[in-house]
Amino acid sequence: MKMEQVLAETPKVLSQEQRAFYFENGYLLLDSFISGERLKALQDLTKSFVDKSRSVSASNDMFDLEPDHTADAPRVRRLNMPYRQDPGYWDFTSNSPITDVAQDLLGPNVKVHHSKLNFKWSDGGEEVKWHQDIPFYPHTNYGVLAIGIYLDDVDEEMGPMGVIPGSHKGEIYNHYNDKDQWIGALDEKDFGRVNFDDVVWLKGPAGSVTVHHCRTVHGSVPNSSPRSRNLLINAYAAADALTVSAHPYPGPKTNHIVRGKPARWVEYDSEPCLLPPDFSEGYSSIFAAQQEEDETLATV
Amino acid sequence: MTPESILEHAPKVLTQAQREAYFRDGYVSLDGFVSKEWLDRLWAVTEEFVEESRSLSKSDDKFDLEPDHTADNPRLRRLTWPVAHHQTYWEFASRGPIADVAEDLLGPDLVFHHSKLNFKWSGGGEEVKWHQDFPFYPHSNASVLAIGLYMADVDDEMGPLGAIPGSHKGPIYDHFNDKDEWAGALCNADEAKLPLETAGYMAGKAGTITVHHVRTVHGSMPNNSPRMRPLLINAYASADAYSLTPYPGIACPQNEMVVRGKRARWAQFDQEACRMPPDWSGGYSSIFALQQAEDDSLRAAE
Repeated sequence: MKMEQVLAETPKVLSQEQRAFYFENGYLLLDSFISGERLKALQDLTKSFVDKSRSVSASNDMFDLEPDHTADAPRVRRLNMPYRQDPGYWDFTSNSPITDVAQDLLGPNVKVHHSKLNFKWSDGGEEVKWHQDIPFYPHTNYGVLAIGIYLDDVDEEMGPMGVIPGSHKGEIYNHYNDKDQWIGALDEKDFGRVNFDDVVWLKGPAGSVTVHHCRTVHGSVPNSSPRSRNLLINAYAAADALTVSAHPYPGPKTNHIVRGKPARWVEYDSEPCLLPPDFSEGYSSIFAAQQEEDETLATV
Repeated sequence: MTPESILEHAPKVLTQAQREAYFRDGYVSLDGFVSKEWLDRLWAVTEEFVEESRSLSKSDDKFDLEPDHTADNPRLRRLTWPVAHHQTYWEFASRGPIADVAEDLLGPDLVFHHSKLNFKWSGGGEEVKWHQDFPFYPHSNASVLAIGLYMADVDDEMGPLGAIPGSHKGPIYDHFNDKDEWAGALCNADEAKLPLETAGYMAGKAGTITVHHVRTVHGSMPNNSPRMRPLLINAYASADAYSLTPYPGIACPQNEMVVRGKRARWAQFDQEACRMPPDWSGGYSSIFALQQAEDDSLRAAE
């Protein structure tokens, strides 16, 4: 849907100013948006998955592990597709105030694309390099966004997410290097075209929610604090935006309608979109690609 | 790819005038383009499949049969996805002269979309109503086409393919009826607005190929002759046109396979919206059954 059409719908949880801000700047920070029982339930559920990871020694479909992960000191980088792992996560994805946020910014018909929980462990946990999301999962138009919720208080030291305001209106950057290998991040030679001086770091107490447009340049620095920074992300698309490439996590509840109904007409945006490597044979995470753990993935 | 960027590449088999005619009219036919040697090879395997169909009493994933098909008098409407059933069909589609035609009209990088062999049997075989192909298989852009090969001589009596010139530059029509059921054809009201009198009917001798753009409105009359009119169709897309819906029905290994060049790094999009087809992941019945309302469950699918 076009921005004007979205804005013409009555919002459920956002103010008109917040919606206008999102469309202008490509991001939104909602301080302490989720609280009380709902937040506590997500935190407890997440702790139970960290415990579950203790018995796992190598990354698998559920967990992406840091190289030094052990049973005694679990270092999970990512829980993949949390909403597929537990109904508690699915309820949050499909029927909660963040689903309302997605609806307010994408229009009445909304699909969920995927979900992930990034742990960003204490003392050096994972940098995420500057990137845009849409080259990871191109759609026929740019009505696609990701909503994150911090499950812990996040301050500057902890590697909050940084966004470049307005970058969603700019170009789609190459996410391949000079050797034509997928790097899942902007190439440094393009940094001159990014307004890094404007970067906004999205911090807040546990329960704060971040929203970023699929073309917004964003990233985060390592977590140099002794505390972990768990960020649960759900990505949504307008129902009229169809995926163009293989889903990185094929299986149930991909492109599942969470609000409204499926689109009758596919909508196109004329701006071409970069494609990722063929993930149909399996996806290894952005961390592995950016840190070149997985040479086979980095080479298309 | 845009016509301008395609035309910048030197053609392999078409003349510049033929390419320009295709981009202007949305279709082109090449009389006797395919050699007798290729036709003989294709006929040899096709006869095997007609023989095989004699033992069948109803349509399946491979054969779509007319209601009055019998062992003694086989009436095949369609061999579905021939490229998967015999290497000769795939060799023709991927390395034969028509792959060069596809390249001349889609650019140096192209992928395969699908294949079918429509028999249009003698004595009244199957009308195909006016339709566009794009609503059957939306792509990120419309640089997609289908190439048909007449395996027998086709005259005006035999229901040659007809196309409305320039209709590929017009709207993408709704192929659902006014009850919001998939009809697989234009509704009467839209059809009435079309200059049907301008339709070009592509008759030609065996070996003639027809090429039509994915947005060109096309169809064909019943075959009123005593001869059958087998038309082998192969569809291709530019490598920057990404298919948005899974190919319906059977698993088809050649779907999306790169035929020339390489897959594009950037997906290109058209601006005009296209209506989504029904969800065919649970099975697809052919355009014939649908347009003739043999299969009510499919009409209601959505």
